Amino acid sequence: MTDKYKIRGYKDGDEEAIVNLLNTAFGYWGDLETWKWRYKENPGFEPEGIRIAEKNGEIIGCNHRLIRDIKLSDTVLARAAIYGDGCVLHKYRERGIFPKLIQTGLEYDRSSGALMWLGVTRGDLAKMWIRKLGRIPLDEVTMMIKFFDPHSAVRSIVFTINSFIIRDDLQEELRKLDPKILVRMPNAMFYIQVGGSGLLTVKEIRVINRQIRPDVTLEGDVQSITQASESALAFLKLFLMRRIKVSGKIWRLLKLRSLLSKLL
Amino acid sequence: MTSLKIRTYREGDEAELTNLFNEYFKHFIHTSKTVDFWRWCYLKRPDVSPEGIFIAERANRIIGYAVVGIPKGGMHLARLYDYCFLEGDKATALELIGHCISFARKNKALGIIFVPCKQDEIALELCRKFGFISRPNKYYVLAHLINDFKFYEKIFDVLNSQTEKLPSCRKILEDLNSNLVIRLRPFQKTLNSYRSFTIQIQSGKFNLTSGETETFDAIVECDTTTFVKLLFGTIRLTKALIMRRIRISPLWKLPLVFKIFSRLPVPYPVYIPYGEWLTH
Repeated sequence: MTDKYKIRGYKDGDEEAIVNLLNTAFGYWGDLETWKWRYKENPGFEPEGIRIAEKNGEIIGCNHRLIRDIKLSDTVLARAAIYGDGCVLHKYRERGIFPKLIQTGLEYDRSSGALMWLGVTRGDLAKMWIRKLGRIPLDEVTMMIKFFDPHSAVRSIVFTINSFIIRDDLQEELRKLDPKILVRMPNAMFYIQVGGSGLLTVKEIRVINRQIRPDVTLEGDVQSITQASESALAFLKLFLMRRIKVSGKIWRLLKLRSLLSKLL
Repeated sequence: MTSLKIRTYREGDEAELTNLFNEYFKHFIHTSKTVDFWRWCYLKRPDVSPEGIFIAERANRIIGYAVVGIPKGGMHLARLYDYCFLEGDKATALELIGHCISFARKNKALGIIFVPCKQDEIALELCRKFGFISRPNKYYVLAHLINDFKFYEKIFDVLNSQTEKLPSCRKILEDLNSNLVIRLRPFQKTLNSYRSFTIQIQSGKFNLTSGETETFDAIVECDTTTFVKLLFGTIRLTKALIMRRIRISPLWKLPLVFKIFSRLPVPYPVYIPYGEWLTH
């Protein structure tokens, strides 16, 4: 397979392919309307600010940016390139396409008079930005979340996992793994398993049913269960701190987590 | 005292809301908010409706606002995109966040996401009060310098204007008339890839000149990342020295470098409201 691809700016008609690419890469990113609002209708939109990697007519990577003024103080302004969504299709990763997109983007930023590049990114991705692309961490931001009830929390976790599973090869691996997880929270109990569609389903259990034989039982409060679902490290930390109790075939849970982390 | 009134957005509010935001976050490095930008960011946003923009008023004066969005697809978690209230006004903050939560519940959201400003004690206290939990996966504000020298010039403009306001700082700098050569190593190292400039301190002001002056008091060598971190106060000089990220020559000029670097950190932290993030 040849590795030839070209980097170019955005052209009218690319939008649908870009949205599909973002949804494939991020599980669920959003719809065309959101993309149009975020980039095309933005007061700072310029087609060259959206860098696209194309191979044989297929869009395999993209990187967005918008030029804005940053207030360094009451009187001092500096022009900056604000980093937007960017990704490369999984099968084309580790080939230097993303750094190339960033590099050509920086040339555009420079020509636009931007003095700095500024972006907010998730912790696991930030490591890549810092180590491989030399970005400088200026601040750490904590995202707070409030679930209205335990069912919402579990549904939200399952939705996040499903949004990744919905992609190609992972469904087959999940079917093979076939995890059956019982989640016990104060005053609530949920049973998670693979449904007919190949995605995880969640069912609230009101009365203990002896026919349900889970592989793994996870016990903890809403806060701990939500935090444990975020990363293998958080899971381990909470387990050691005895904030969550795990019994049964723990390896199934860890395997599920590692399946997801491959894609994140 | 007149009572607090919470209402939803009305056409024509945006100018006052923008001014309020710029005033409230004036001690932060933030993206400059204009009326046009505010309209695009919240009024045109697909998941925000005018009913999700809550405005706090007292005596017909806007004293706070909060914007909450209900995404159509996906996880159906409401998002508190932006908020702002007069400094120290806990009652307003409480009412605004309470309204956002009720709005999210009414719209059958599973929960609500909020990214409070790290330095905002009231918002953090309210998060605890309303039962928000922090996600272990943190987010980072990352930077990269495209035109480094011009950027440093801007930063030193900020430091100069700050020094002018504080007579004690000016006095310290006035006593420090000196030339400091800074040699920076970029992220991608190549032979002789040092980038040099000189910080001249004269009459209580910082002046930057590109290149190295013939006479100087000390040379500071470090990588760009460390220097930017020192500028933004995310690392201290002592730590950088211990970690061998910075080298001072001659070493006996260390007290002078310490004095100069203690004046360096930009006085303002960076804040980007959640509604302005362009990343997933």
